[in-house]
Amino acid sequence: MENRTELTLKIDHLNVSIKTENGLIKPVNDISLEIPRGKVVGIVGESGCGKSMTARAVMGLLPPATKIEGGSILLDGNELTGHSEEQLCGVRGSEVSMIFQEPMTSLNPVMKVGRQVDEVIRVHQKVPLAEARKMTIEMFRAVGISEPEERYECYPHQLSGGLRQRVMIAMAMIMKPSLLIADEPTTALDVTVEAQILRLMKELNKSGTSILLISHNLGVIAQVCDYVYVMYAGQFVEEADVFALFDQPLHPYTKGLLGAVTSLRREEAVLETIHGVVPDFSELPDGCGFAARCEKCMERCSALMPRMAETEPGHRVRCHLYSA
Amino acid sequence: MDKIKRLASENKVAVVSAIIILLFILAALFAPVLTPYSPKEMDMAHRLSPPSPAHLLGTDEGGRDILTRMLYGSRVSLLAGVLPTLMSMVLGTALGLLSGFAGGKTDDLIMRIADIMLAFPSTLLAMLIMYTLGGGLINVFLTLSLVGWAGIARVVRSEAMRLKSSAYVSAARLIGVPGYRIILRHILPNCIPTLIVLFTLGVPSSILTESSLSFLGLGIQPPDTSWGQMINLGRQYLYNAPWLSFAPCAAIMLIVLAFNFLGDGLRDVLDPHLQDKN
Amino acid sequence: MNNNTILAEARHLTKEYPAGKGKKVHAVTDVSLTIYEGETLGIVGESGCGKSTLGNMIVNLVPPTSGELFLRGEKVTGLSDRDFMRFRRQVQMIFQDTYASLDPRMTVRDIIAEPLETWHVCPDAQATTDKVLGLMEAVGLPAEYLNRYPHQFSGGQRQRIGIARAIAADPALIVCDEPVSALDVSVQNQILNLLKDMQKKRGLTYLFISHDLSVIRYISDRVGVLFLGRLCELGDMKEVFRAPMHPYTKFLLDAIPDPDPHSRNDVAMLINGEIPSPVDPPSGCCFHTLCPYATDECRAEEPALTENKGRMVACHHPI
Repeated sequence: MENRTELTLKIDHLNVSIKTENGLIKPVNDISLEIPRGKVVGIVGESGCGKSMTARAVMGLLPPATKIEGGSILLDGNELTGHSEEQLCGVRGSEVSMIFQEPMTSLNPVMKVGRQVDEVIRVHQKVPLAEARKMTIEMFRAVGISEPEERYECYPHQLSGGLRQRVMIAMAMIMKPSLLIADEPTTALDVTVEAQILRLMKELNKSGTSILLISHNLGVIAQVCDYVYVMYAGQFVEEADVFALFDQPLHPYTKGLLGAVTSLRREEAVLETIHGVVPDFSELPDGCGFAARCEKCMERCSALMPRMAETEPGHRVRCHLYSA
Repeated sequence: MDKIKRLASENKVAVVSAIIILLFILAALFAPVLTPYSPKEMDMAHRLSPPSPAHLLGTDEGGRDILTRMLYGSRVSLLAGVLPTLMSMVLGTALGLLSGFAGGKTDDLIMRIADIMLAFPSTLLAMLIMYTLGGGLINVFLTLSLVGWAGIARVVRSEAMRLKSSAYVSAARLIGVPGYRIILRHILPNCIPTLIVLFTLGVPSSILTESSLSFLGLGIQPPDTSWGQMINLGRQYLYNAPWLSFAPCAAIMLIVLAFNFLGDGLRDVLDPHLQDKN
Repeated sequence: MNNNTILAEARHLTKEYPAGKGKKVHAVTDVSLTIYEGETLGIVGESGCGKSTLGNMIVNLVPPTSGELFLRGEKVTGLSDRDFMRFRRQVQMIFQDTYASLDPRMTVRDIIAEPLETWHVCPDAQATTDKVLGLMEAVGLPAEYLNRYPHQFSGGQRQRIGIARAIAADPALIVCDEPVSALDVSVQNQILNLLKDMQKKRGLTYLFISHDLSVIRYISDRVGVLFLGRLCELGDMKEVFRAPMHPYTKFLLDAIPDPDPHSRNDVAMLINGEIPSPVDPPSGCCFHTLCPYATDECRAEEPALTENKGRMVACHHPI
């Protein structure tokens, strides 16, 4: 038991499938992930790799026609899969909560933002309105919203993108969840605002919240995460400590991603690219999903799916180059 | 083509509607083959007889077979649905495109005229025009065409304005494509889904307006017939011979519903936003 | 690569939009800049800084409220559409939204052929198709895609179509309005490489608009930084990035998340507070509400863009 609660979240061999016209596809394919208490874990990948779907599975917010096909999701040691919508509602918002890329679409446009946070409190806890208001304003202050009393009375359209994201974070943090899932939280924001939000997330983490950060931006990942999973075509292809991953990437895809990053400090005449495009889920080969784009592709790569193998403690990779 | 396939696979109601419409058209075309009776010849011996094997839908006050009258009447009713709608669409689309693309004073002028047209209840407007022009088939069609264009111009205008500000029209302007070519090559083709839907919605409303006009005695004059006129004639016998009105009422309802459902179905298939989801 | 022939020049360009209640959105205020033949001038700024409006004015898609634009020394502001036609072919644009900028009902062939047909570049339809195929090859699109429609392509491929269309009639200046910001990282690089390659081969001049400093850094020779519709720094790209003089430029550079976990940005100063609204810009220097170095002079008087050590800076107290 003791060992279990060390982990805020433990996902074990999770599979999610979607029925489409072209048959069954698997946007989340045999995913295992662990978030130790108080850590920031990142999932990095390009659009359509299944990273948002993984987050939605944890939240129990999968779109219709999707199905969890097996595996388990343990939050603080409690199983989340196989529960009814009603049971999940109790967990959502209080033990795990989520912020999204576009804060405008996740806020009700005709309701004052303060009231929207109050509502979250009152769904989970029986408190008088005045009390909820006090808690909301306090939380607004905690997430760096200046003049919280005045902002409480604002409608979403009256706030800037950065403030809206702060409201979303306040809403997510109000019940002091043990896990915060952030799905591309800064992608829609300007770079100066992004820096503010990232710093806020680091502060939240310091005060004890575990964070699952999903991003396509390696800069964001490098700045915030302790441990990183690289996702490609529905699978994790590499996982490692953030320093190990950036210093010694193993998987050709990880290397490609890191090579393609335009850094302010490097100077290059021609930018590195990964040849080809992300494959469609319905056209994945039997073997490694990256085989068609990989420069080091071998014969067995397209025929046989490589297994996750540990090269060093905590550093795992799914590639035939490293399986003995 | 694949859009029609998608419609067929996803929306059964729309397919059934399309089949019903097709059957009505075939029945109108082959009316003389389908019935042994004449739509105009009276047979006083059998007046107001209820439905029977000889007269499947009964006979009217002049002893004429109702089914036969329905078949011939459908020619007028269907034509009244399709022809004026097409005419008002041509007029409405041209004015709407001009209005939306040119903007400014042209837009103001066209839209104020459209406002006036739309401010009148359409039946009232049609009655006014019919009073001025007099009854008869051609005048009915002309009236219906004049009544319908304003609504279509409105929709096409807003569509044209939306497309005008789209990035690909900007791109065409940057290339130096002249205005009329932008309208014909970029704006009009992208309005076609909307136009198809407007057409399927316009036809039933046209059929209904024709029926109302004929019901009021302003439309088709006897011995010619349309469904609306049949309802009008059957009104006097509603209590002792309800079949006189029942059949044309049912036919109008059926065809109007069929066109509406088909329009809904087409709108779903042609909507690019819904396509993106696949 | 850099010669000193001036291709385009903007003088005091200003654009205001009505914002209701008699107020105005000051989208672009008094921007003057010069674009030299063969260079890439990067324009960087955050959302709402007016960079797209500036681009739209320079391609003459949007008329300026005041100010003038010169192309090859000739004044083009205020020309009627008909008179501007002489210049139309000279300036083209590459758009951000690859989906919206291509007519969904036209094939690739027709899209790329449109400028060729408009300017009667080729004698007949066959020659046009041949030229389209040549352009497709140049931008890396396989010839068998000739009769496909835009929605059958990925975002990166659609941007290649957009590039082929923009270069088809041999323009001199191409305004690239955030051409890669909607694309995945690995695809972004393919498009950036292609743009650079095209520039080398065809002697193009770019005005490259982006919010992404690392993209600007790769593609630009010179860079201009926009804040709230005003140019606050303009100069050689390497110099500006090495030693920013305007505080806002420095904040921008410091805010970029460095893709290296060893250099975490936990101490650098961040902008605190909200960027002012362009409807109601602050008095004096429009950055003073966010600037840690602001003095009374900054609050009272708007700094002019003046030359300072080989670059232009609009600041009373440059770093």
